[in-house]
Amino acid sequence: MEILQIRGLTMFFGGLAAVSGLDLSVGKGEILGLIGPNGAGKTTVLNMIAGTLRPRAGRIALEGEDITRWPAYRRTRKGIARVFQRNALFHDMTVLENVLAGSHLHGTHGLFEIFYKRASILRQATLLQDRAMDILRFVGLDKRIGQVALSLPHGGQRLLCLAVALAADPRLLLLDEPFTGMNVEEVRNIISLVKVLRDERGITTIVVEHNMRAVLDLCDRAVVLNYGNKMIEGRPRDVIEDAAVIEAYLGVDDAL
Amino acid sequence: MSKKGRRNGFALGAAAVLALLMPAILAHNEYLISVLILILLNVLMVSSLRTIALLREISLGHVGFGLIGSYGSALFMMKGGLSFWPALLASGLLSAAVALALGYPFLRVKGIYFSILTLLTAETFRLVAFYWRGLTGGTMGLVGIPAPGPIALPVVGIVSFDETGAYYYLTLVTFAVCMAALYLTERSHLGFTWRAIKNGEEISQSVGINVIGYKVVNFAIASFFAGIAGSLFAHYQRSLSADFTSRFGVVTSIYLVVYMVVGGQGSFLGPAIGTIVLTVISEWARPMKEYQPMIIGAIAILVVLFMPGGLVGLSNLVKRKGRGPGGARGT
Repeated sequence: MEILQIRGLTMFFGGLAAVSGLDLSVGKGEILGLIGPNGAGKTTVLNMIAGTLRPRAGRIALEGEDITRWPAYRRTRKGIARVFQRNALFHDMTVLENVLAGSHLHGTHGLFEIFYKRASILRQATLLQDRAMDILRFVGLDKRIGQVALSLPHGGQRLLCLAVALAADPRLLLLDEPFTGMNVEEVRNIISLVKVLRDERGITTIVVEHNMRAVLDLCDRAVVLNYGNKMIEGRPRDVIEDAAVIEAYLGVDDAL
Repeated sequence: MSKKGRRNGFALGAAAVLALLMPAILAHNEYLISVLILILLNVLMVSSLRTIALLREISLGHVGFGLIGSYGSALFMMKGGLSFWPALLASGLLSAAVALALGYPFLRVKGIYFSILTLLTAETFRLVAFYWRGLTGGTMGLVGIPAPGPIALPVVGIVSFDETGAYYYLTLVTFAVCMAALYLTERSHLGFTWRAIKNGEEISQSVGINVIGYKVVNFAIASFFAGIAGSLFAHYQRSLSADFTSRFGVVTSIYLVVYMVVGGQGSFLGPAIGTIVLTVISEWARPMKEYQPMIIGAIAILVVLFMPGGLVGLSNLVKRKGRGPGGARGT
């Protein structure tokens, strides 16, 4: 069964077609790798799925529901969460506060809940804290809850990004180059976390990544984008060995 | 933690007692009490301005929403036949409603663009009030604004609010309620979400926060309290003018921002400290006439250069020094 369906997705920047007429389906529980040379439109596709970019043409459906015109925050409510390429965090807040902010949708209801019903809010706050602690334990940051986000090392910040995304309780997780700047051990750690999320909670993941080793280890399927179009798709091993893909990478000066 | 809580509670109690005794301390001097009223209203204005600053936005048109509160409240009483308390609430709500309507387009822009938009909007409000003769008295000003009706209190007897001392207490009570509401709002889930948005709009969107929605609500809440302050101002002054040099001019908006920055916008008490200190200094410097703004300006520059956290930051510095070895406890 499909969780995400994309038809004819098109985006221009100036006169340049960053993505043109892309069709893509993602199955429930699948881990899909979006790969391709620099400038192929991978992040643009991710942005359009997350809702931070409005496509020029085409349709995006989440479990059959057309979300093409929805703002980003509404998509999060429907279960799309993303981890940004840069470490986008609530920098001045503590690790725990970051995850609590990520739980925004699970806290109170609507804009106007302020200081009424104190008891129920306190109970809810405790619940949220417990939930946040579970998530932090899962990514292995439960010993650093009081630390300010910005003071974490790069790898820790990445894990916190993942924790914040998980706090929104997503069904579809978008990871934009999660392995950049990480050592082998950290890469392996994130790979196993994403797999556990899939196996235990059925979370679907779309990952944009340059690290081919990681794509091989992590993804069930890989889609190669080039000039905003799908070039080839299939099992990661087959895709990476494909002659045309190698040419696309090597053809663009020192892309690899 | 609870020790700190007890100390804060004690400080708050002391401040309350001091505020209550202030008219007696000032020997019921009308002029000084009127300065006190102005300080309370300005603290409320600056504190609600800081509510907007919680989102890292600076409004240069906060006084425009005070104007709506002032004229709104005056006209609710004079033409709408409302009595004071309903008019007070209605003027706050009117101000908030205007902010809600304007907030959606306004808060799509940020930083300096937001500041410019708010500045021009406040000027527009002022000019409308200045020229709409039929409603606001136009250039002649709006006169004959009633004082709040007298009330009967146990022990004290009948209190009539056209007397400055009584009006001070009315202002003080309303002020305290408003400040408590602002404080609780900041500490609530709503305030937490504002903090999240201030930390990063992109990530806030991506965790499902309706950033524009929260900003608009923030703007409306801040404007509500500006409206309340405006209303209290109107019924104290008993007449209003929207002249450029009046309270509703651009200069006031700028002063409000200066009070906030000098006091320290990072802390809830910053606006109060900045307003009190600068108002006292500028009242003291009043005989110097045109040099008065220069003194305020010089203080603002010094604070920005040497105390980025504002005067509140200074008290923290003293506290830290006091804890050091051999250091005397600061005042």
